Amino acid sequence: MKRFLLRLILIIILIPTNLYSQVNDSAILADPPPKLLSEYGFFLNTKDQITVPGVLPYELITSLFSDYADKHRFVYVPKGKIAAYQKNSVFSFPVGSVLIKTFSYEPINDQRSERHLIETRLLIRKDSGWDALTYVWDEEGQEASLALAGKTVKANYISNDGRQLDIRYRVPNKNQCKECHLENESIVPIGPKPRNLNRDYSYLEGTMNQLEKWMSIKFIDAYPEKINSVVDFMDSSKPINDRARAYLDINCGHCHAPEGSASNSGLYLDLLETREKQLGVFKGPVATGRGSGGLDYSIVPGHPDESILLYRMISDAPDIMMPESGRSVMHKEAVDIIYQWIEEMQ
Amino acid sequence: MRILLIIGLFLFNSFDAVSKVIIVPPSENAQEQIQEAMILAESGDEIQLTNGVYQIEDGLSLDIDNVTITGSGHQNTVLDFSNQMTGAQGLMITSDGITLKDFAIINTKGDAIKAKGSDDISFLNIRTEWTNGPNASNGAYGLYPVESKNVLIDGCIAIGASDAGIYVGQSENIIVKNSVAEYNVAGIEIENSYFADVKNNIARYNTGGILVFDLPDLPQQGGHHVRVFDNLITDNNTDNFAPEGNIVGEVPRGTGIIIMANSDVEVFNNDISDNGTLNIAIVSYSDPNQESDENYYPYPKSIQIHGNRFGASGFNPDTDKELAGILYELSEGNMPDIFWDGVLPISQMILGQPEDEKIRLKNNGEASFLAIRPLRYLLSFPNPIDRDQSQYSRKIESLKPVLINSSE
Repeated sequence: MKRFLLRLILIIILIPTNLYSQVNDSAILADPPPKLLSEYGFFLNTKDQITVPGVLPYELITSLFSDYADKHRFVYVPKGKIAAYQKNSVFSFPVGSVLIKTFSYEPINDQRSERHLIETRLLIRKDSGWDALTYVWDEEGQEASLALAGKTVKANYISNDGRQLDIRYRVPNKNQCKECHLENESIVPIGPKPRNLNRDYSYLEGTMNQLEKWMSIKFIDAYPEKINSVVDFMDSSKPINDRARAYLDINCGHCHAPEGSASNSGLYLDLLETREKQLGVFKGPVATGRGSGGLDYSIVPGHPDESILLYRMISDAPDIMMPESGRSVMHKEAVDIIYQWIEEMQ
Repeated sequence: MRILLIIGLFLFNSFDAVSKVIIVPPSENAQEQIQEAMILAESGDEIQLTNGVYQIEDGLSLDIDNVTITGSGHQNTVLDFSNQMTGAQGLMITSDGITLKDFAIINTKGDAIKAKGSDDISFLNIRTEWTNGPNASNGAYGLYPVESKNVLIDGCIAIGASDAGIYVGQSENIIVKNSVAEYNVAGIEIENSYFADVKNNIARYNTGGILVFDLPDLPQQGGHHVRVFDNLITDNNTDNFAPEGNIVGEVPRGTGIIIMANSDVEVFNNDISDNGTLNIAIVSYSDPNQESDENYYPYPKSIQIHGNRFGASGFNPDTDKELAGILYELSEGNMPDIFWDGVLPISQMILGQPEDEKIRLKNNGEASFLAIRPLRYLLSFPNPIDRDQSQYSRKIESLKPVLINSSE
C-alpha cells in the first residue's frame, strides 16, 4: 500500500513535466538499435519503474525463475494497432510492439536501502520478426546500456526463510536470449499467453483482470471466454499436479518442446504435453553426461530422489543444472514442489 | 578497443558485401570480445584467434550464418575453460555454414563444442581435451553436432570425454575422417543418424573405440547407412568412467566397435586389435523397465563386416558389464572377435530372418565369431551359442559413399 501511494505521488509530481512524454516509435524500429534505454522513452522514473502513458504494466500467474530477481513487466502496442489472439500461443503483436522486462533485487533491510536494478530486456516486434535486446543498468539505476555480449553482475538476495545468497547474475547475451525464445527458427515471446495472463492486476485506476484491461484499451482484439489458465505454482490451495505443471511449463516448456532448443532430448514439458514418457516418466537420459547423476530415468513416480529432473533442478554445476542458463542458485521453493509432485505420483 | 578490424577483399559468394576478418588476441577482455564478435559478425566474416591461451569463464555461442572461426593451430590457440562458471558447453553453434578450424577447447564443465540444428558445419583440426585424463567429472562430449546436416569432422583430436570424444547425434550426411579419439569412454559415436562415413581415424585408449547406436524415444530414430572403414581401432582398454545412467556406461572396457540397433552398417578394411573384451559387437537394444516405443526398431539389420584385419582380443574381458559377462560365460572364456547377440523379433526367431537383413561376414582373416541363439539361451536348452560363421558368408553389397554439401 505504501508503495502504491508513493507511486501515485511520484506520478502526480512527474506528470506535469512529462505531460508530452511518449514512446519514441522510431527508436523501437531503429537499426542498429539504440545504445541507451532512455532513447526509447519508456520510463518516467527508472528507479520506481514508472512508465509513460501507453506502456502498461502486467504480471504473469507463474513466471520464470531468474535467481530470485524481481521482474517488472510492461507491454507497449503502438497507437492504432492491435494484437491478435491465437489459440494456445502468445498474442500476435503488431510491428512496433515491445515487451519490456526489468530485473531487479529489492531493498534488503539494513543492508541496501535502494532497489538494485540489473537489466531491462526488450522483445521488439520488427518487420522481420521478434528481436531480443538487453540493457544493463548503471550503478545509480539511472541509465541502461545495450549489452549484446551479456554481462556478469554481482548481486545479493535474502530469501523469505533467511537464506543470504550471493548471486553471480548473468545478463544473457543475444544468443542466450534465443536459447529460450527460439521456436523453430524464430524468436517468440514466452510469457504473455492468455493462460498465463488471466489474473487481476492493481492498476492505478483500480483492480481489473489483465485480459479485460488489454481488451478495453484495444491492445488485443479478442481473448477466449474459457481459458484453461495455469495456476500460481506457489498457491498451496491448488492441486500439486497443477502447480508442478505450471512451473515446468513456464520454466522448462519453451526449450523442452518439439520446436525448442532441447528438442533432441525427447523430454517435453509444455503444459499441453500429456504423454507420460515424453513428460519424463521412466524416460531414460539421452546425451546427458553427468546430468543424469547416475540415475536411470527423468521421473521415477514416488521416488523424487531417483528422478533426474529433480536432480538437475537442485544442482548448480554448469553441466548438470537445468535450465542451462538464467539460474545460478537453486530455486528451493520450486524444488520442494516438484519433490512433492513426484513423491505423490502413482 | 583491442579488436583489430581488417576489411578483407574477400567477396562472399552470393553476397556483394565485403567480408571482414576480426582478430581477437588473448587479453583480459578476450572472452567478451570473442562473444561480441560472434554476435556482431555478418555472413562471410572470419573471427581469428591468435597464438596463446584464452581464459573463458562463460559458455560462448555463435548464431550467425556463414562465419569461420580460426586459430593458429590446435596446440597454439587454446580456449581454456578450467574456470568455467556458466554454460553447459564451451562453444555452442546454432547457425549454418560454419567452419571451425585450428584451435583447441579444453576443460569445459560440460560439452566442449556443441552444434545444434546446423546445416553445413565443419570442424577442421580442432582439439577438444580434458587435460587431467579420464575422469567422471570431465564433460560429456568433445565434438558434438546434433540435429545437424552436412557435418564434416576432419583432422580433429578428442581426448578425455566422459561420454564420447566425437559424438554425432540425430544428424545426417556426416563425414568423420583423419581424426584421433583417445582416452574417452566412447571414441567416436554415431547415434540415431543417417548417412555417415567414419574413415581413416584412430580410436585408441578409449573404453570402446567406435559406437554406432540407435536409441528410442527421440525425434530422429532409425539410424542407418553408416560406413566404418580404414580406421585403426586399437587398445581401447580404459576403464569405463562414464557417469552411471548413460547408455555408454554399459560399454565394457576393451571393446573395439559396437553396432546397436542400426540398419545398413558396413565395417571394412579396419585394423581392429588389442581390445581386451572383444573387437566387434552387434547387439539389439533393450530396457526391461521401459515401455516399448512403437516407432523404434531395436534390432540391428543388414550389417556387413568384411576385409578387416583383427588382432588380439578377449584377453581381459570386462565381465562386470552385462554384455561381456554373459558372453564370457557362454563362450566359456573363449571370447570371439565378432559377436552377435542373435536377438530378433519373435516372428523372425521362429520363422527366420529375411535374407537381405542377415549379417554378412567376409574376408576377415582368422577372425572368430559367436552368435547367441536366444530362444535356446532363454529356455536353458543345450547349445545356446553358434560359432559357425560360414552361413553368414554372403556377397557384400557395398553402401554408397556419403556426400556432404559443404562450402569447402
